[in-house]
Amino acid sequence: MNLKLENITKQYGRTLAVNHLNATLSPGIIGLLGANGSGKTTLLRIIVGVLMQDEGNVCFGDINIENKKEEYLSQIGYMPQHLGMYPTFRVDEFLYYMGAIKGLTKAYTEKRINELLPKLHLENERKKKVKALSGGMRQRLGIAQALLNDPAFLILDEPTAGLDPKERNQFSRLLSELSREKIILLSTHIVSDVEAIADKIMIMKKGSILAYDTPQILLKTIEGMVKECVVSQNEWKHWQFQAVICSQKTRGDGIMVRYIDKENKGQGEVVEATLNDLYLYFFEEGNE
Amino acid sequence: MKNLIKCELKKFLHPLPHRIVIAFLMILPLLFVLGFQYSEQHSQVLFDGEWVSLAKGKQSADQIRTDLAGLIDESWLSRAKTMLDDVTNSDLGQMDMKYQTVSDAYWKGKYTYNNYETNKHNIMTPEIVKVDLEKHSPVYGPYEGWLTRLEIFKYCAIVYIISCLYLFSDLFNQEEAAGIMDMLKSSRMGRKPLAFAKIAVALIMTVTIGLLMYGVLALSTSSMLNLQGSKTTVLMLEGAFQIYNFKEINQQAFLLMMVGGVSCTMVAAFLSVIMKKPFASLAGSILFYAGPSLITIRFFNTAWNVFFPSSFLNFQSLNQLMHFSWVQINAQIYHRMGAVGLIWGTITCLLMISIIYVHCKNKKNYILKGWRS
Repeated sequence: MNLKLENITKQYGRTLAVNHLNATLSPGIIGLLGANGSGKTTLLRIIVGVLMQDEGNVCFGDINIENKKEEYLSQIGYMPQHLGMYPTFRVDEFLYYMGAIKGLTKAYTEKRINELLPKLHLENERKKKVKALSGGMRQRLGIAQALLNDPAFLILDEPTAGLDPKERNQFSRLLSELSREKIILLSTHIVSDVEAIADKIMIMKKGSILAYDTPQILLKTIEGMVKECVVSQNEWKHWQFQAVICSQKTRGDGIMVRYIDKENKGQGEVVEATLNDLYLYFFEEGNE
Repeated sequence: MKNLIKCELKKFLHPLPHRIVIAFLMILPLLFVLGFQYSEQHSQVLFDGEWVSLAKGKQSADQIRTDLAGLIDESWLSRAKTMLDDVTNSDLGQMDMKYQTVSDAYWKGKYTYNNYETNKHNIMTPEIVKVDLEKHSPVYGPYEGWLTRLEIFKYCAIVYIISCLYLFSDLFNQEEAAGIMDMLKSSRMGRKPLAFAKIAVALIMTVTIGLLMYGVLALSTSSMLNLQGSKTTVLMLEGAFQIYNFKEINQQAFLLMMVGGVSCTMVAAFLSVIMKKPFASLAGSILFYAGPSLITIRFFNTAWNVFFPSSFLNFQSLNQLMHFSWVQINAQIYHRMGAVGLIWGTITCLLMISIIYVHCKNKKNYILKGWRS
């Protein structure tokens, strides 16, 4: 089932947080990329029904979610950016509580807890108090509560914040496993979080979608524009203000620069573009 | 819904301070009884020319009252007068408890009898009062145990109400403080059903704690105090005529405590919806409870505040509940208990509706500031 966003608009005072946004989300992992303040969280909060849009509709399949909110909410799992929990609860108590809030039976919640805790490597923490968990464990507990109702639509807002590289890797694998029949919308400003696993990338800026497609098609936007060359220290002083620099590395013979050459007039060798280059292409300082 | 209420109940009992407060309320009546007994054992009074402990003095005074027990009529007055004359002739001073007991019995009995008779036949007496005076005849008897019990009840009720304010003043804003609001609102049962569950838990816990505390109070006082004379009419207050006996006063005090507890819980819960910070809603609740009493002490002596829980529970020397059985509202006389119940019942119901309405509202037109989706 698809989720359609039709002309979604949200304004805070004079600030337009989401600007007449249209998109259709289909099963698979969708990486929602955008700088801080680009409207990602506002959009996600509208999608999960926490915030009311000023204009537009959110439709799950052909149904406007306003008309069947309970049914819709039973199909979604949401992990917010700022993950709060009751500190005195134990891990399993928190999940039982969230199960009740999601309208699940105790038996079903128990079954899901037994499935999810090992998957998320929280089995040994089952009886630990939430306040005793590390940042990474809390994030995983947040993911566990989002998955408790086996949702058709999983929305994760900055889920990898606080996870170490190993945990990020495990998390990516878990999402890949889950993505077969679900829509997974993963909001982040860390490109590497979605690079390997996203079926589609949505890039948001100032409340609008700049691009929304598969990574392969999106990368074609900057095909042939990403170059690498070695420049001297003197040249570098001018370079850093004239081009979109993707990376730099000081070497013995100068500075190795990776940059985006929009007009294809600069020096250097064309290299294969990555999502990180694409992100910088859209969010280069001059365009901010 | 049942599962949600159970989980919410478990969550309510989870924080250690909540459990400590509830446990403290359960032993509070017992502590008071022991405290009163200790204090009475260590105070001395003069009885029949001898210094004895206050406990012993009260026991002896109650024995005199038991001897005098009965319906207050002309024969009772003549019996009391004879006893007073005997005591006066035996050279007991006014400091002596025996003298005080007999004198008090006679004069207050006489005053009450006259008052009843006068008011029963006075054309200015409202009809509702006349009917009550016909139904309730004044009865004299022992009362020391009941006085102590009601005194303990008063303190317990005040602590109970303040505890309710504390326990429920973060009922709705604890989620905001814990940063869990978005997770709840995006869940199927996270709005209206959760609001209902929270209110259900608040009501269940308020009533349960009240009942348990009263149970402990009833058990400890009935086993440790002399509670004879439950049919004794409350005669001790001059300037008023009282129709109820101690047992009825006790029942009314219990009902008032429950009404006060539930209404204060609802006020605290409502403030926790409109105020985002738990300490702000707690401060607001305490102000609501104590404010009217403070204002009255300082500036006014009006009747408008008699309906505040702090006022009707803080019956200093039982002078709220025991002073007058009736209350005047817009030139009409009503039974105090009924009026209090009606007013607080209505306010509680309105608050419950408001809480659910405000809590579930998720659009731009909020009815109250400070609550945002």
